[in-house]
Amino acid sequence: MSMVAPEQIDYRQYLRLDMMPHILCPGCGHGIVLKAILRAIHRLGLRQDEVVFVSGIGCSSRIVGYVDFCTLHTTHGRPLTFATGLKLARPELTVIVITGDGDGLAIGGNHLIHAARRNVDLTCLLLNNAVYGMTGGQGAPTTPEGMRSSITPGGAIEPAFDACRLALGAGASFVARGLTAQPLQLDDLIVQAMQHRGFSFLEVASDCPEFFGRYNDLGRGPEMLQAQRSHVQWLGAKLTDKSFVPGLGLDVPHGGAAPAFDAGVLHREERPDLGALLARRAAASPPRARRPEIVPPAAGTAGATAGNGSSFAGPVRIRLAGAGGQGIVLAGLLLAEAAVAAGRNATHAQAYGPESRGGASKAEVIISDGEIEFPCADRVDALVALTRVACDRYLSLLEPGGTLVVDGDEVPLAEGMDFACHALPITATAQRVLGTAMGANLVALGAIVALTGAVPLEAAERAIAVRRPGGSIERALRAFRAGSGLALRHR
Amino acid sequence: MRVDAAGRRVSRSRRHGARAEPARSACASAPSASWPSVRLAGAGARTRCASSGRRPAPAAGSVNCSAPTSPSLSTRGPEVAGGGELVQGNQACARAALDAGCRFYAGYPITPSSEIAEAMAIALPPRGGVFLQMEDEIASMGAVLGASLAGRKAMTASSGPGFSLMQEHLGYAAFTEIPCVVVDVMRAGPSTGLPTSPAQGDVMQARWGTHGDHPIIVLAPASVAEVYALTVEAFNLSERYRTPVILLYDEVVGHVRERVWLPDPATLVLGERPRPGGPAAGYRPYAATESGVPPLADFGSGYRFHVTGLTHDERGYPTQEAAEVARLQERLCAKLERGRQEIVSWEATGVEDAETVVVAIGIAARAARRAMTLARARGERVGLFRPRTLWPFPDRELAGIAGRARRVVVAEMNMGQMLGEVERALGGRVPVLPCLRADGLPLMPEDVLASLERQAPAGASR
Repeated sequence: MSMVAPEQIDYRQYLRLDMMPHILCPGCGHGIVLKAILRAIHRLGLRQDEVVFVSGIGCSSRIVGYVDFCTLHTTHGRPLTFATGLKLARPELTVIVITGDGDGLAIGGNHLIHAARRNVDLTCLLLNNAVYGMTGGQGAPTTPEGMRSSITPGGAIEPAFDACRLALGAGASFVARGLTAQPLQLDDLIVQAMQHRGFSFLEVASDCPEFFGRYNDLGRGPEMLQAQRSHVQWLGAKLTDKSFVPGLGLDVPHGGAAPAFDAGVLHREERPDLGALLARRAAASPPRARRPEIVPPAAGTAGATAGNGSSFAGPVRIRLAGAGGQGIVLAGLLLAEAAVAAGRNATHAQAYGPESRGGASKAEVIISDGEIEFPCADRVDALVALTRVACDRYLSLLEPGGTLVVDGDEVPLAEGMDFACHALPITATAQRVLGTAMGANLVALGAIVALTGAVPLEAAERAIAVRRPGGSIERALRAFRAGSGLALRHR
Repeated sequence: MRVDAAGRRVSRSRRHGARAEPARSACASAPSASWPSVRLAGAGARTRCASSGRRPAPAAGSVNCSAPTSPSLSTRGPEVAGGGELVQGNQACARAALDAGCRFYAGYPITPSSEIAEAMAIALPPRGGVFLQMEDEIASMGAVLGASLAGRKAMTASSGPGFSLMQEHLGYAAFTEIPCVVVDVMRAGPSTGLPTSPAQGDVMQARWGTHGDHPIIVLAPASVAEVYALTVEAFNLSERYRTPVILLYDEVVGHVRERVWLPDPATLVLGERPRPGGPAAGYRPYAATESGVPPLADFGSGYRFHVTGLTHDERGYPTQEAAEVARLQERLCAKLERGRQEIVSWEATGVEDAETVVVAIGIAARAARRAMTLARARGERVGLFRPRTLWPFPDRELAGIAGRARRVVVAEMNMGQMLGEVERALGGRVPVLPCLRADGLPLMPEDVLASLERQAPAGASR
C-alpha cells in the first residue's frame, strides 16, 4: 500500500463550504481524521453520490455535516443502527459511520457489538479522544484510570477498556487502530477499512486539547500529537508505555486493564457479510406461497346439517380451556376454521399465560350465521374443560342447559347440574389411540363438534387435513374421530 | 332485534366519501358486517379497501354526512354465505404491510406482537425485502429509519415496553420527516406488566411518548379487517405526509381471528412519498412547499443532503436562528393540520337520536358496540363514536356529534387516558363519564351496560 499522500486533492470539492465555519476547537484532532477520510475517498475514486456518512452525537459525529455527501446525523449512540438499515436496504452504497468513544462505546456499545457480530458491510471510524468534549469534558469509558475530567477531578477510578479488542471479540472482520498524529498512515488504514468487505472497525486516537489536554496538563494540540507520535509503534509493535495517552507514564492504580496501544491493522479475516448472506438466503427462498384459495362452501354445508343431525341455530359460543401445551388454542382454531370453511362466520380469541407448558390456557370460538359484534364470550353455550382448574374457573359462565365436556379422569362433576354434562375419558382416549396424551385436544374437538353440531364433522375433518396438527393427518383424524365417537356413544 | 330497524344511525367522516364508484375490492369481516367492516376508499391515493362488491343500500335511518355517494356502513348481507378466510389480527397486519409495499422490517421479539415479525421474516426475503432481528427496539427503529431514507417502505412492531424504547427515534422520525410505520400491540403495563394480557394504556404514549412538540398520526383498528385496512392506510399516510404513523391496537385485536375477505393487492391504491424531480443542486429537503410536505430524495439517488435531529433549516443544516426554528416547528404542525380532513377518520353508529354516546377504540369499541345493541333492544338510545385516527383526535367531529347527547361515556382499558381528550373536545358542554377497566381483562359489554345503568342521569328516558 502506498504511503504517499495524494497530491491532486482539492478538499473543497468534498466540503459543504456553506456550512463553514465548523464548530471544532483549535487543536482538535477530528479535523485531521476528516481530511484523511476525504483523501481515502479521493484515492479510491469513489463518487460523492455513492458514499453515505452516518454519525451519532458528539464532537466527532459533527464532522459529517461538513462533507458534501448524503449525510445522516442521528441520535446519541445509534448511528450503527441507522447505517445497518441503510446499507441493507441499498447495498450498492458505501456507508461510513463516524462515532466517538462516548457515542460508540458507552451509550452505543451494544450496537457496536451487534454490528460487528452481524458483519454488516460498514466502515466504522471511532474517534477516541478519551473524553466527552461536546458536553464539557466529562469522563468517558476510555478515560484511563487516574486521568482527570470535569467529573473526576481526583482522577478516574474506573478502568478504561480497549475498543479494538471489544470489536474483535464481537466478530468484526477488520480491526485497526490509527492515530491523528500519523495522518498518512491513517489514510492507508481508512482505505483498507473501506476496501474490506464486512464490518471494518477503525479506532482513531484523537486528541482533545480543550478538555482532556487541559484537565490533565497535556499541553495543546501539537504537544498531544507529539506525545502520540513518540510513543506508538505501528503494525503490532508493543508500546513501552501502556498508558492510553502517551507521555504520561501512568500506572494503572487499581489494576484495571489498560488500553492496549498497538496501531495498524490488528485483525483481518474474510467471511461473508450480512448483506451477502441475506441475498443468498433470499435467492434460496421458496417461491412465494400463493394465498390460500378461497373455496366456496360445498353445496349443502353452509348453515345446513351439522354432525349430530340437528340444524344449526347460531350463534354458538364455545370455550375450550385447559393447561398450556395441551393444544387448546389449536383446537379452537381448527373449530373456527372449520366453521369458516363451512360458510359460517366465526371468531377465535385466545388467552394464555407466559408458560409454554402448564399454566392456564383458553380459547373461545363464536360461530354464527350473522355478525359477531364482540369476539370474546362473556357467557358460553358450551365449555370444554380438560383440567379441574379450568372447569372451576369457567363453569359459572356456562348458560343453563349448555353443554359441558370435561376430561372425566381429571374433573369430578357434581350431581344435579343444569347442564348437559359429558365426562369423557379424553386424555385416556388420546393415550389409547395415539399412544400419547398429546392429541387430547383433538379428541376433545371431536367430542364437542359431535355434541354441539356447531360445525359439520366433515368440515372439521377438512380443517384438520389442511392444518395437519402434529404433522400427521391420519393420526390427527384418528384422535378426532375417537373423540366424536366417544361423544356420540355418550349422548 | 335488529338495531338498524330500531333506528340506528350511521355517520361517516368526510374523507371516506369522496369517491363515486362502488368499491372494487373486498375487505370485510363478517356477513352483514355493519360492524367491523372497513371502508377506506377515498379520493386520490387512498387505500381502496371496502367490504363489498356492490354498493349496498344504506341502513334504515343512516346518515351519510356529506358523502351521499359513499358506500354505507351496512354491507354484506346474509346473501353472502361463504368464502372468506380466518385471519389473525397480527397476521392481517403483516399481510397488509406486504401488500402496501413494505420491504424492510426490523424488530425485536415481544409479546403480543411477535406474530408480525414471524410473518415478515418468512415473507420478506422471497419478495426481495429485508428482515432483521435487531438487538433491541432502539436499534430496530434506527434500522427502519435508515432503510426508509434509502427509499424503502419500512416498519417495525412492538408492544408497550419496546414502544417506550422506540420513542427517541420516533421523535427523530417526526422531526427529520422520515416515513415509517410503527405497530404497537398494547399489553397491560406499566413496565413489564401483564405481558400476555390486553390493555389500552399507550393512548398517551403514542401521542406524547417522545419529547418535544411533534406531529404524529395514530390509527386504532378494532377488527381484523380494519387492521388490514389501517395498516395499508398507515403506509399511505406515512409516505404522503413524511411522518411516522403508529398503528395502535390491543392484544385482543392482535390475536383474535375473524373471517375476512382481504382484497386483491393489485386493487390497492398505494401512496408514495413525494420525491424531487428537479436538479440535484439546490435541493432543499425541508423546503416550505405549498403542501407543507417537501419532497424527500432517497439516499444514493443523486441528491446529496444532510439529515439531522438538530433543529435545521430548509437545507437540513443545523440552525439556532429563532425565526428558522419557529418556521420549522410551525410547518411540522401545519402539515398535518392542513391534511386533517384527509387524515382524520372515525365512525359513528346510532348517534342521531342517542342520549348516550359511548366513545371507544379497539376491542373496547367492540364491547361497546355489543352493549349498544343490547341497550337499544331495551329501548335505550345509545350510540357509539369510534375514532379510527386516535391522533389527531377527532375532537371537532366528536363535539359535533356528541354535543347533542345528554352524556358521553368513555369506555377504555386504562385509567382514563382518552377520557381527558374527550373532555377537552367537549369543553364541559356534555357530562363525560368513565367506563374503565385496567385489570388485564378485556372490557366487556356488561361493563359498558353497567356503566350505563350506574350513571343514568335522573330523568333519563328509560
